[in-house]
Amino acid sequence: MIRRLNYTKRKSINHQDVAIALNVQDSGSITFDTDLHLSKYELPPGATVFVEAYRQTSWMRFNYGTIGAISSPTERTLTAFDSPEGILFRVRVTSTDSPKGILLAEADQIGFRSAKGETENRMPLLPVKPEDIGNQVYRIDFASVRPILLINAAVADWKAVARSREFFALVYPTVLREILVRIIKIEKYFETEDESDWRSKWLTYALSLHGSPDLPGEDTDVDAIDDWVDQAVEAFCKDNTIIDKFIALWTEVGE
Amino acid sequence: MKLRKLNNAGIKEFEDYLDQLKEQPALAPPKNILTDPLTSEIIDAVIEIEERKFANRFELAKYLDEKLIAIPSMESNKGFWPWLSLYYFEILCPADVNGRRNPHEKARWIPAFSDFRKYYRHLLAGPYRIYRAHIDKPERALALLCGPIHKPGDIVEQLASRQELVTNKAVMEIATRLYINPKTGTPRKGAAGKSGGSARRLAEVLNQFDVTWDLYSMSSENLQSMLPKEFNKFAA
Repeated sequence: MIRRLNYTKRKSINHQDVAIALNVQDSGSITFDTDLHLSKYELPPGATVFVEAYRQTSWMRFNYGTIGAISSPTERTLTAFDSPEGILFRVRVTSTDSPKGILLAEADQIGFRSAKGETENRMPLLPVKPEDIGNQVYRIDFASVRPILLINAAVADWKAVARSREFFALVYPTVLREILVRIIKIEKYFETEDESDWRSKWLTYALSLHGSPDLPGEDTDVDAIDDWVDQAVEAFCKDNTIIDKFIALWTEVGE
Repeated sequence: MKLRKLNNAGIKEFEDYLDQLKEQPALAPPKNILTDPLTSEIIDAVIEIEERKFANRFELAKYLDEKLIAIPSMESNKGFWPWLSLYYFEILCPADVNGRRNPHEKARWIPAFSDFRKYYRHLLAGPYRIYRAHIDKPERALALLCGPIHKPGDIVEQLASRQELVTNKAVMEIATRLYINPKTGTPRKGAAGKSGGSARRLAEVLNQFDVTWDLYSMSSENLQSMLPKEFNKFAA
């Protein structure tokens, strides 16, 4: 993956400051409502605010006025989408001063809530899905916008497998290790500020496990990186009492 | 033939055939499942799809758009695209002189709708969706639609995998202006590959621009003027 450098110090808008609710009409048409809280980012009052909905080749942009006068457009029907599944949103704030069109702030890959609030489509850190993966029981797929845990579709009740204590104890620590190694050793990514980037989210999560703000850097040697990853996995296991649960489970089987 | 779609059993049978084809490259496609009620079902009793050839992906997408325009939600119809792929199998997976076929990856036949890095690789749904994304002026996306239907090509691989690029009118106009010979409608030499000014480089440069600029609000002329000199050889 190619690194993208934020030369202009574009601000990252926290996902918690953007709420999007989707409403599917009986006719099938999809509309949305937004709740934006952007005042704390100290953006120019004249900067333009856009909300975009997208999914693969479908994309729509809505003008929400300016930072100084945010207003929802009256027409917010997602005519380019035939179903709500997989729709994501982004909020972009762009400069109207010279040079015009500079991106000042952004929040990307924002999920939505249904208008009734019954379901939530915020993106989980590690989605799980069934897939034909030959003779492997599970595999991590890095080919999407974020890692996905694939479970062999030949397993009849893959959801039950993913939720099972056995699977959790044996697989998830390994998954965490593989993802952290991927981010730090293969992609050499060390940032935690970009909320739209899955790697930032995972590193933030790993830091929360560590209970320490220390993160390896580009100059950290390989052994120290391995130690850091191992500490994160150990902390994950400790937080989730993995070994206790596994021993209890094994004892149950023995009985 | 009337429009139909494969059911789960039909999709499974088609997938099994694709797997077997790797071991037995001369194996005939299971065309019977196209109409067998155990493996397929009708979508529309009026619309007919004809057996025919297509000069390129653009002609194919235009034809499909005309046929499917009245049917809602066809872009994401799980069973239709495998059905249509099997219907057109001979032209999508032509046999070599020894009668052997190479189907390549499964995403070319069974759409990987949930995988943004693979969904566009479907040989039929891919060009159709790109055409639909630029329905106000499909010619602007010719850079992604000029290839033969069984060989999408490197420009598609570089630009269609990024949602911000494939949906951007200015980017598609630039790609077509840079890489397509307007007289022949075919890619210019050097558009594919890794060299300076190639489609791969364009994707890399725009990927960096996208951090700084709101690319959607820029005209193709403005955006093109910001490109490094390496692209000048195509701009002449």
